[in-house]
Amino acid sequence: MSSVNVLIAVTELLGVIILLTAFEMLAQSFVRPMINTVALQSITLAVIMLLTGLSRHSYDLLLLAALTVAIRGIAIPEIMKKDVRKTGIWVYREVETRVPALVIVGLLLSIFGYVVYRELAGTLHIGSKGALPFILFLLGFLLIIAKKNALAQMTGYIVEENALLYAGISFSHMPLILEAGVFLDLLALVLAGVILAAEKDYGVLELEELVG
Amino acid sequence: MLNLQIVNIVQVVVVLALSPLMAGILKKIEARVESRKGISIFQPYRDLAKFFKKELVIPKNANILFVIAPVVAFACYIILPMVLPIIYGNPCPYAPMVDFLGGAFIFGLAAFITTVATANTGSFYTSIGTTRAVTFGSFAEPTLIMVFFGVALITGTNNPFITNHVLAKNVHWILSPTHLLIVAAFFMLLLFDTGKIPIESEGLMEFGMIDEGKAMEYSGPLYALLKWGSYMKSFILMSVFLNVFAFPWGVAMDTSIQSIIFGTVTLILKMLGLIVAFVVVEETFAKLRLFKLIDYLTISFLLALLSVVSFFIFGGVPA
Repeated sequence: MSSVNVLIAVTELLGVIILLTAFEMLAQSFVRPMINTVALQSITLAVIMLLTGLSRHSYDLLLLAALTVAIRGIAIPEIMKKDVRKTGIWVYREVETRVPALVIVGLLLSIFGYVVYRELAGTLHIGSKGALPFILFLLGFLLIIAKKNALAQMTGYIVEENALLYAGISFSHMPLILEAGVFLDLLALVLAGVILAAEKDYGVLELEELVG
Repeated sequence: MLNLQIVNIVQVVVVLALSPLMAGILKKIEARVESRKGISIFQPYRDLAKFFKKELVIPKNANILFVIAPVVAFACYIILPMVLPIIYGNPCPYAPMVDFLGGAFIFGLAAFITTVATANTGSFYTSIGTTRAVTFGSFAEPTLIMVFFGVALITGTNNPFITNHVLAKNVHWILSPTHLLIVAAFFMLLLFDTGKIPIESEGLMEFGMIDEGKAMEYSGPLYALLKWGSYMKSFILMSVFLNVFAFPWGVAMDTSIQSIIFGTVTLILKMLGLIVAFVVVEETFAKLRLFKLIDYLTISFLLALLSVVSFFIFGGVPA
């Protein structure tokens, strides 16, 4: 097995890990672990970028990987965790947890996503590389729909941005300036979201889970 | 060179003789990790001997199935080593009769007969155990089927022996996401089926008991058979996990006495490694609440189905 094949195998494995982190977020009912998972997802994505950059000898991807770790892996999760610490309400879990249902819906969505992507790829001749980012993109949507609180929905948004970035590096060269633009976009959104969330008053969450 | 029938008998004897030992070793290592002295690793043998000597009491309303169920289940666990790669990697005379699904059916027969047998005992606890076993079992089955699909996709066959050979030859497939996800899903299923923490279906705690609840009304030799059967079930599942999924090397490939001994020794070593993995899981995780078991099984189903999906996404196994 040559080193190129090992690299491909490792990249595929990391791709599956990224998908698994998205499912972990779907199944998670507490906010703080969700934020930690999205940080892990971003860092995994950065490792994929690093490997891809090394194999293609394109050094702006290395820069991008460093940016990803700094902004998505560390800065944004820290900002969100600060918000978690500030308001006591986030220590509670989502009022309803529907883990099996959500995971099954996520699975159906990924199969649907794969089938749709296969049709798309057949028409556009883009190969099978983009299937994982496409599925991740759909899962990000599901995350936003399924979760009830603002911070969880914001993590869903980050998942979508991750999917975009992943798609960008899976296909071919995306101009660095465009990628950096996506970063700033995300940072601004999270800051605005956190500021808005700080202005809002939260009521007491009912702990319905303890009944029955 | 030994006769294949003798190899067959050796496999059965290995399972019969070593399965209580593995349970004892697991208990002992766990106790050492918890800074307890723990029981002797031979304690399960002494327990079995004690149960065989005890008096047999049968509930008034129980039907004939109550008596024959432990015997049939035990017979199932004796048949399974004849058709699965335990220490010898080539099919023994009876092996061509079943594939993975056939093996699962034999496991299913044992589970079915012990479930049906508890119907008329009139005990509250047996019915708790039975309903739980059936409910959660129905959530575990999809994972098992998906694992078989995944293996069949990689290796192009549904035969445990060929799977073992194909995986042992293609080392680089071990790294493929499909294979790793299958191993993870089957490991979760293994924890469920052998009743380890996060499930903990063993033991008499009413909140969590599943398997032990089914055996509640049994006593004496019949209970000993059930208990021995559960040790054998763990042993067989563990060796299938090791030989077919996780670690396909070190299985005897011919019938000379040396290689059969070699196969037995490597199986014990591999199983000790797996037991260490069990201990790590048991000592680091807390027991799940009963209703969370479905979440657990859903996650294992997720891993199994993702293995199949990833097979198609990445266009098959790596070349």
